[in-house]
Amino acid sequence: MHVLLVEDHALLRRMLEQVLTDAGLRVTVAETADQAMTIFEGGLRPDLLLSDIRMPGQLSGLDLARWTRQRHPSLAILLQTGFADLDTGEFRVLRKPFAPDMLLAAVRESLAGCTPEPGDGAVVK
Amino acid sequence: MLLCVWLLPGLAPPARAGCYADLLGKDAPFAERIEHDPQAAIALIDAQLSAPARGTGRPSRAHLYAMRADALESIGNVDAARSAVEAGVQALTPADDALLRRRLRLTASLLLKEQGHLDRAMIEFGPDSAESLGDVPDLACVLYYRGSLRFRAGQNVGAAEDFMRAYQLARNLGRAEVRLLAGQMLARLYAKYDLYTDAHELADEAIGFYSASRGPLRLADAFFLRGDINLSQDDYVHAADDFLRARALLESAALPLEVVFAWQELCVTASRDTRRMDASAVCREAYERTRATDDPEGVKMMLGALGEIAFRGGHPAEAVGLWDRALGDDGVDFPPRMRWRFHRLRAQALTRIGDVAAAARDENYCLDALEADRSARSAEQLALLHVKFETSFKDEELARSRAEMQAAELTISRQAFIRNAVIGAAVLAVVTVLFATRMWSRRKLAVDARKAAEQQLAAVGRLTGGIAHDFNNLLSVMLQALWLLGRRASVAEDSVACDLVSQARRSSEICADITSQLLSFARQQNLVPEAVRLGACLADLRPLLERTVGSAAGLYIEVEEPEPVAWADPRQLSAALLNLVTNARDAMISGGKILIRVCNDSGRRVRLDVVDDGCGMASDILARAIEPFFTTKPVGRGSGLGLSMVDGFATQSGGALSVSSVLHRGTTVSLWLPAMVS
Repeated sequence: MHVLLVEDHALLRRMLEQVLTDAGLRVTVAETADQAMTIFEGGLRPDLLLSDIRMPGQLSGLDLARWTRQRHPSLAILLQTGFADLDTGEFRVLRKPFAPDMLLAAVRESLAGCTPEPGDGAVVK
Repeated sequence: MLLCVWLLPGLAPPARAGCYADLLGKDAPFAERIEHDPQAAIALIDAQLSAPARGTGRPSRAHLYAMRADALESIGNVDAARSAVEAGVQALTPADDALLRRRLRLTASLLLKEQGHLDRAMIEFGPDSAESLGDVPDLACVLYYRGSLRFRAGQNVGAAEDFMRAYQLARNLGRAEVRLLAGQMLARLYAKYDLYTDAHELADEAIGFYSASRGPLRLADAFFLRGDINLSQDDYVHAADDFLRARALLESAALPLEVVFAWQELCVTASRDTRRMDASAVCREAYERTRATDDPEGVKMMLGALGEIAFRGGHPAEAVGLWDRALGDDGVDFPPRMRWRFHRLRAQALTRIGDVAAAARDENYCLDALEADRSARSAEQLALLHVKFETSFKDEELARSRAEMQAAELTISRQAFIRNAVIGAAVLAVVTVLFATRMWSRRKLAVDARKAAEQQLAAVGRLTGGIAHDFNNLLSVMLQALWLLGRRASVAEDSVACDLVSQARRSSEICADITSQLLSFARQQNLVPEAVRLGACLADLRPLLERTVGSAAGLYIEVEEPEPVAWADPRQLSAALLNLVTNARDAMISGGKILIRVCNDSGRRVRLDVVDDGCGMASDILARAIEPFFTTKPVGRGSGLGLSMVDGFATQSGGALSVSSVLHRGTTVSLWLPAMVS
């Protein structure tokens, strides 16, 4: 399973990457939603987008999530934020701070709910 | 005035004599001579200095040296003027008054600054000199001067405080030039700390003022300022607009060097938003023009911008080459934020071309630098906001005392009128007018004060929200790191290490709870409301509440029939109740009774009362009880956030909170929440 992790806080990005890798997931990181979009446009097809919401740059995590859902409806999306006012109910949102157990449970549930695109060979655990 | 002449070129003509006549009244003849014929004045002063015997009533040696410095400075001999000041400081005796002492230090500081010795100028000026020079009519100028010294030395908070005070003072004195100069510096600092609304307000004010007059250079400067603010907000369209207008003004004024600055700013803007302008043409032009001037820092910035364009255009290798040249360590100063930006981008470009080791070096550089910057910035931003409140309150007091003064003047003129025109109707009319004016101004003052308090509260809320958000990120880091640590074999096998990890995790979780309380007082709490049956909820909470109260007081719970059902977040409601009960317990000095009463209020709301018969509050304490960080508990016992947190929860849930209290009799806190509509 392949996760695209978008987080602007450098330390947290590094930690989350390690936790996800430890849990046996393949991880690609991006610092901003803008950068993540470039990565998508470059052809990367992860199984899950795990993104912070408020980040520097032109796009917020929410914009990115909406854009991704339109382009790749089968991709699982999980957002995380330290602010309370950003939960619009469109996506599952994790509240910071969260323990890794919570994160991994949410990641697993999100991945279980996603349907693989025909022919892309992803296996649902 | 001297200060203003130095600081603000192009202002009113110098009036040195006037300035010093105030300070050294008895030396007025010297002062006049210094202005009209400095050479003759120096000769006269030298003759006085070399005279061995001195009678009373003549200027002291320190006085003479101060005047000599002034005369030398006025003929442009800065070095000799400084020696004179130093001699003056040496010659000071206890008989010299404090004002002379301060004047010498101030002159020394100005001269040092003139010679480019910024650090020494600061030291000479001293931290408190501005205040001690308060009797000089140019305090606003002095403050502006010290602000610019501090700004250049990187003491941003101190600089901001000076600029704020200079701005307000100049505004109150009606001195537009000083006000606008201080305002523009302040705008730069606000933008640096992301306080964009304030920054824009000040920049727009400057643009408005300079549009009317004062020549193209000042106006172009104001456009540069607003452009920079827009740029730091990533608003490239408006930034480019501002820089284009600055460039047009400077071109029409035939200021070639300044035109190059405008090209540079346009280049930086274009390199970040390659879609809108012909970025490479703009940047190449800016680069060539910069190279033609003696500006190594500018050249490096242009190289960096060209690198950004190459990178966005899909040429990472070329970009890396340009950034290598821009970031090369050759002693040329570079704005740190730009430096990080280019390091970060270079890391990305290096990753693209497969040089992972070099990318990691850049990434690590940015990580360290940005972490250090971020923590320093939050602390400085907090300090800046604090200064802003303090200053704005001082200003309000000043405005109030001026209003009172005007009211008093009004009264006096009315009385004169009454004496002169002895007509009953006029008396009546005047009294009516006076009464109405008084009433009106009193009401206006009360409204202003309340508005200021609300604004302060809202700003503290925003600030707290921001800090809590930073904490949430950092706590997440700690929780992930501890989890990873706990999974390592060497830790898992070591029971002591395991215990330490779990203790650290436990305290991180407590921190997370505190952060969430902060957010709730900042009214940014994430609430998940649901139907809460209050009787059942209180029954669940009872053991915890009883433990909190302890054996000293009795806890009673009364629930009305039918059982009230609230629409609220159950976790936050429990936390709020626990807070109220803790407060009630702390109000009990020698035992008593705490009653929690729940009832249906009008069918659309439910009310929870927490009633105690403890020590109660006097009216002045009661008035501040909900205020954040206000507490009467001993240090370490209460954060002062309890009631304001409950208030935040109530407001955000669509309810309300009210506190009533009688000293020595007890307190009742009522919490209203929306009722569940079946």
